[in-house]
Amino acid sequence: MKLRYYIALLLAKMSVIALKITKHNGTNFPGAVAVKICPQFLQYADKPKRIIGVTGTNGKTTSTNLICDVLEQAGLKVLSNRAGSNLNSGISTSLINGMNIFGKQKYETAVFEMDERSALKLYPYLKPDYLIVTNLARDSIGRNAHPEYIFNFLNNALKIVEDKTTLILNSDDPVSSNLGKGNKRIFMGMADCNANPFVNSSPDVSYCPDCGGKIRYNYRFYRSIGNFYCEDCSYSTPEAKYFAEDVDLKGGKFTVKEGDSRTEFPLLSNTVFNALNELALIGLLRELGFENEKIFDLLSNVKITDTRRESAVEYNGVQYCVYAAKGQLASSSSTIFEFMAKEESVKDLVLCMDEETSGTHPDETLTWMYEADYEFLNRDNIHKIIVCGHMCKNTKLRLLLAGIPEDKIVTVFNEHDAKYHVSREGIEKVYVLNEVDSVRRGFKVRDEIVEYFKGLDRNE
Amino acid sequence: MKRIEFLYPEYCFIFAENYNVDYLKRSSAEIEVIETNHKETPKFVTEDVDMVYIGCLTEKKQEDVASLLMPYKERIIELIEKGTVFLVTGNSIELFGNYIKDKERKIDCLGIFNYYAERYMDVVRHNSLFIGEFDGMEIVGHRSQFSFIYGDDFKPFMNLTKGIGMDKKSTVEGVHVNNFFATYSLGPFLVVNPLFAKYILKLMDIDTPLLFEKEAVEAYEVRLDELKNGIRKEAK
Repeated sequence: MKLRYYIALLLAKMSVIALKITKHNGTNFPGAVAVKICPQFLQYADKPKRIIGVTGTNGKTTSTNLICDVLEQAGLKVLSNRAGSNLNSGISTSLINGMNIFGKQKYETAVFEMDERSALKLYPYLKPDYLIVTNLARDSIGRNAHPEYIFNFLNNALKIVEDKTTLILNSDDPVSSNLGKGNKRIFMGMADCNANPFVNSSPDVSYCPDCGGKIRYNYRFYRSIGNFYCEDCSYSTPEAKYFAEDVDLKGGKFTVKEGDSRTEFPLLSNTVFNALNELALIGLLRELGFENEKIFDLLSNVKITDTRRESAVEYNGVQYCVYAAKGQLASSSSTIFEFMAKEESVKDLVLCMDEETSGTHPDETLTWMYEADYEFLNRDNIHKIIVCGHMCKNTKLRLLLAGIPEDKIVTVFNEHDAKYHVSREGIEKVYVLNEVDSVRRGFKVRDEIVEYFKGLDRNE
Repeated sequence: MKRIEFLYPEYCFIFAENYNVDYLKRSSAEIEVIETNHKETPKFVTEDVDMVYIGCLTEKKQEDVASLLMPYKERIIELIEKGTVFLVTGNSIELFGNYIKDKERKIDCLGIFNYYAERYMDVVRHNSLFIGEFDGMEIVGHRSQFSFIYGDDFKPFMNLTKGIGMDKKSTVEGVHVNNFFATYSLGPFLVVNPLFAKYILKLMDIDTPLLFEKEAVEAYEVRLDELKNGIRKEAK
């Protein structure tokens, strides 16, 4: 088997060179080749001495990028899969890139984003020293079923690395905070910051995993994340080792309490999601032995790379924005709808959220559409909603059932027709919400709208 | 008033199944929905209701609900025989068979119909769409599940023209006895199938249009056409 491993490594290394020559960097091909030739590639691959994993439904990529940036800022050479996938092949590709031709690992530290469903293929071989679990929420029904299933799946995988992996958990998540009772667990918690989240019609968790009683909250941050308790038993938010207080999202600072000490840190973002991501990072750094003063300095020199941050161009006083959404994922879609409602500008929305890649077979389910809170879009500042794609009639029905007035809804099967329906007056912004896996599609639709208006102005 | 009992909503709407009763309620002012949680005795035990609805569950809660319903087996049989409308969607259909097999474990179910289910939690989740025929209607269904039902000693709800049925070799889907309807299809089944939603209302002697009936039928027709013929060209 070792011979097979070395053949796999050699061919994968050769493919890396070939990809560089042909300018196809950033694919998972080398790892995919290696795993195909040697399915136990991860087991035999030389790995960095210290491995940090990041998993969870939402926030994995943001957290992974942030941890890498901070550790690199601290002078560490960090191997990561930030440019590739979070599956076996993506992580194998990263390891291959980190090894010399003889298979010797050049990095001492790795930070890997890890897909939840790949846990059994990753944990036994990578044996992460630390695993941050951001949260567990509603995800793809077809792959991840429901949060309880993913919880059980991860929990079983964690039993394999009970002696090795320290979990860094969000104590305010009623699902993921219950993970890994056999592992060493570090909890992160946060005081109320008046986030005032909307109430989701399909919560990620509604009953206690211990007794089935109703889960209630002292305060919430978003969706099912908040200081929780079961109305019938003692199940509740675990005590946090690192607890954020005086969270000032607008002022950009919070204080982290650890034992009797309190340290103020800059907040890298004004969103509660990223405050929680940053808190997990601080906890990780403390566990790695960094002093608070050093962490403060490091945080003062990094930015959050939000892969979905809106990208805007301005024309005639209107902002035309592209904002990546995760269509077919109810929790993510609801969060974005909530943002669109709370972002006060008067806006048109162009929804390009149906699946694009299914070819001729419409394999998209409708369930996510009814789990997602389209009701949040029933606001005065949402001026018009233009629904694009083959699901437009079904989305229109969903919008009507959500209480959106019919005269605010336009349906177009072809997204290239959206430009004919976008308002030219009475709005401050246009948001094109595109499927996160097809970013170019969103930009194309946005640019078509702007170019169309420019053309109209030239002809007038 | 017509009364619909929604059983264990805190457990039984993991994929927005609440829209099944919600859609009926919002379509007719004659409908009252009674939500019965797991701590309560179902209303149907002591009173007649016009319809009972139960939706999709996590596997753990499916086992809990099997135990919760077990004492009421005879009453459920009585209501089915009397013609009370039942709508059972998602993996709740398995509760009405003999048992659920999960590796070496056997979870006893109501045993009202002669079939059993088997879970395959370690394999890739099965996802598919289907088209079925019932009473001259075409029904659109979506399944996403870890288990299948085996056995052929029951009256199916639909004959399928597309997709797979109760198990991967079956061409029939669901169970239909008197006014009892059960289907593996999950999510907002009645919203996706407005013609069947109207059929259910008629079974309860309600003859009003559905909420947004025109738009619901249009969405259904597009969906049905896509399932038969693929995504229309102008949408590509």
